[in-house]
Amino acid sequence: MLRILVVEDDEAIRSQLCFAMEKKYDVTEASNAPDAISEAEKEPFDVAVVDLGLPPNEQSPVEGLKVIEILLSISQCKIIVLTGQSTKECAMSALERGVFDFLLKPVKMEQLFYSIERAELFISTEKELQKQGVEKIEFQVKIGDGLQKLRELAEKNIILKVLNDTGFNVYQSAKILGVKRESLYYFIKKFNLSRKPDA
Amino acid sequence: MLDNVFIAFITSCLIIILSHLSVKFVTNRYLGIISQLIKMNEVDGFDPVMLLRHLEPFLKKAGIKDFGYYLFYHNVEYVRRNVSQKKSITKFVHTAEYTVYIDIVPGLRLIESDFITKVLVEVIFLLLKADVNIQTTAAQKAFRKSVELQTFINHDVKNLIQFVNVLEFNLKQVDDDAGYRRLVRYMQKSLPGLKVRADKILSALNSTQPEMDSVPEKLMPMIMVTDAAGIYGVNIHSDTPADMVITARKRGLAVIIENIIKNFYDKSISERGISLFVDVSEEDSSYTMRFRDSGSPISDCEKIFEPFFSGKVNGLGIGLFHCRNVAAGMGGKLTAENTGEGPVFLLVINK
Repeated sequence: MLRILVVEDDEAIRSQLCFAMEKKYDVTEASNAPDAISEAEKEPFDVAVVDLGLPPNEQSPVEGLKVIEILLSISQCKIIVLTGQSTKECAMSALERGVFDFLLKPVKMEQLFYSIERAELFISTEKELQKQGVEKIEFQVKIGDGLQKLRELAEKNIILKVLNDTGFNVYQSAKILGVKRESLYYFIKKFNLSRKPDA
Repeated sequence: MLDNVFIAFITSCLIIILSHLSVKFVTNRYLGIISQLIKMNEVDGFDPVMLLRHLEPFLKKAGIKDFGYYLFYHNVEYVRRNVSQKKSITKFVHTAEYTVYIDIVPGLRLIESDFITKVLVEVIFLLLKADVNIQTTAAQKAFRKSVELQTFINHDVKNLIQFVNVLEFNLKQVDDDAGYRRLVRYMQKSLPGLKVRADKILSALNSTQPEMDSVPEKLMPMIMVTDAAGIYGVNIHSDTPADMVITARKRGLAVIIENIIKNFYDKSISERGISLFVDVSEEDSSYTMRFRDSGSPISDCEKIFEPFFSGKVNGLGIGLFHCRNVAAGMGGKLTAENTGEGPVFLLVINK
């Protein structure tokens, strides 16, 4: 069963959203950013429905964006923003962080369910691709910055992923990437790559 | 010889006295005009356009031959041309928001020197500049606050519609008794939060007026505190019996309690683990509710009650301002202070 986290400060909406979803999904609720983060740290969620205006700053997206950043850094969770904050800046900030969908309140429940079903489809397809050995490497770059930057970012992400997978074993990584160890050392220096403290 | 010296001395003295008297007379006359001008500007509500409209009689009284001006602000302009060919005294300022230009032709009377006209030009120019600054700043603030208020109400109304949308969906989905019973339980859970949301919209719209729509009645304040705390999942520490009864306006008291508890809840998000202590005491002529928390002190205990002051990002800043108005409407007072045990909100309600 799909695990969904509902992050919404309005108790009335939150409880009704949970009621609507509980039949089909395993739903957990949180009313503020720290509670949402603490729930996600216990066990990752497949989908999170996140309101941007959370206390203490309900009129600003800062708390919601904080939740999005942390959820995406600790899991592959698909994030659906459900917010009343309709400014272009809010939408851009959320999309830049890599949210799956951006819905403006008020929405019909059918729209929200449609978005969750799409997220479910993405998750199952990604799992299928992973089984086939295809892994997604994400990178975001402004097209206006040119292709060279895009290529470098892709290179950097691939090398970093392989190094992390091998526990920063340069010999193994070079073998997987099909390059000489010297070349890999060059890239590590070029991109200033280092092992994560907890790795 | 001595007679001539004496006559010359007396004549000189008379000239000095007459000059002194004349200067005093002219200065007093101009000072009188200037002070009338300042007073009129105050009566006109520091409106630069009204000042310009009322300028002519004052300048005539001051013996000014002609004058002109150009005023541009709020994208509108006001012009009066000086048609006199005589030499004039001018003053001018141009900024991104406004332009003020004043042009005055001194009168023919010799005693009214350029110096006094210059003083007059300077005073009119400064009055105009100050008025334009007051008007543009006030308009900018009003627009900003109106947008914030609109955003705030929009946010709450969108949430209310969202609630109705989900409820409508849930009502359609439920098809058995167990489902209906479960939905009723969820609605009972939703209701207090919904009421708070609706009250907030009303408070935002009526933030400058005290709550007058209820009469004092017997209330159990600790039960009201516990109910409000329940909405935010806040634990209350108290030595006051839950069944203690006071007489107060229910709606006003509920608004104040909800606001203080919501502020504590917001604070507890960044200051995890802090506690809230609430107690009620009765004196001869009043009741006192004391809300103390174990968190950081309040930065400015009076400033927080100012309208549009907020410590939150994009906060509207009307919550505590409204609460103080409500408390005043109940014949009481809401204050804040930092004590050795932590910050305290004190609500005194007169019996």
